[in-house]
Amino acid sequence: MTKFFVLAASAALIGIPAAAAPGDTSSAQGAATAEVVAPITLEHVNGAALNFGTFTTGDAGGTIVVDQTGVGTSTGEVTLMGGSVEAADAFTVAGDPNRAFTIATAGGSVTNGTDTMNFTTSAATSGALDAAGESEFSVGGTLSVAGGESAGNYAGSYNVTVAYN
Amino acid sequence: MRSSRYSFWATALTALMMAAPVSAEPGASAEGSGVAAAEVVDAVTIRRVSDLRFGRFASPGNASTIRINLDGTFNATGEVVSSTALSQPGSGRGPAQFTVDQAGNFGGTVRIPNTIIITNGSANMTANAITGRLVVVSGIGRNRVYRLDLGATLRINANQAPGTYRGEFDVTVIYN
Repeated sequence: MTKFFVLAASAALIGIPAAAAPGDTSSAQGAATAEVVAPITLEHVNGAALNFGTFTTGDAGGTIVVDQTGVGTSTGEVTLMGGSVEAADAFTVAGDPNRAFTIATAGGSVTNGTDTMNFTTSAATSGALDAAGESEFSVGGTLSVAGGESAGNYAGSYNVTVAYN
Repeated sequence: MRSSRYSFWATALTALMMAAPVSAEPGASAEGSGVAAAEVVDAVTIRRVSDLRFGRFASPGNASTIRINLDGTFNATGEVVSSTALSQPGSGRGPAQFTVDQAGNFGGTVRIPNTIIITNGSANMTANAITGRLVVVSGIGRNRVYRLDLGATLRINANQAPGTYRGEFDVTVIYN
């Protein structure tokens, strides 16, 4: 009979020797802790878009590359038109100050309802929130042009995910 | 005296299993008092070793839980799952631990809380489903030293306010 039991006390069970003298029981105080940090939030900058500009496809196509600063260049038979405006996309991040986070951007496609062109995206893979809990980053991309796509305005979307490290 | 102690054991066990109200066990407290008079042990026989640490996580958009298991592992549910991978404070996650010295007693009961409330000063979270176990770490016979592990499930509210939360609780050894 040298056993101990662990007893989760309900109110009905607490009363074991209520009148016990000192030494009959021994207590210790423990502590439970947790740290809740602000959730990380991602916001698309209003009006920003990954814009591959205005171009001709040529017969054999090629690519439009927009870097993270928004500068566009073409390859292959694709030719950017004079006056074409290319742009990188922009996001803001808010959360726990001074904490690092990861950035993941997926590719996607744009369509004018008839033809479709695929694109990949490029962005930093990580960032850090500043002392105010804010950060921002840009997204560039590469559009693949097959050649001979119909003229028109093409639009599409892609996904971006940020997560605390 | 010895037989009365054994009798106390049986009473405690009955109370545990049947959840009988204290008023139905008038003999238990009387016998406990008798033991106290006959056998006084070291004043400090249970000591805190480490806190129950639920760790760092991001405020979830829905109600979530983190359970700290006795073996140091954890399980999470809800939106908080994705942020349990956050870099953790130096102490990491883990169960509360105490050292319990049997100190020559025949045995006893360790009373642990049903719920623990932790607060950042304005917002609270409740931990429940508290479980404990005693592991012998040294000694023989009536002079064993045990380690008490204590785990629990933390209930995290949707949009729990950020901050550092802490709450204290008591564990008590009742010797026979």
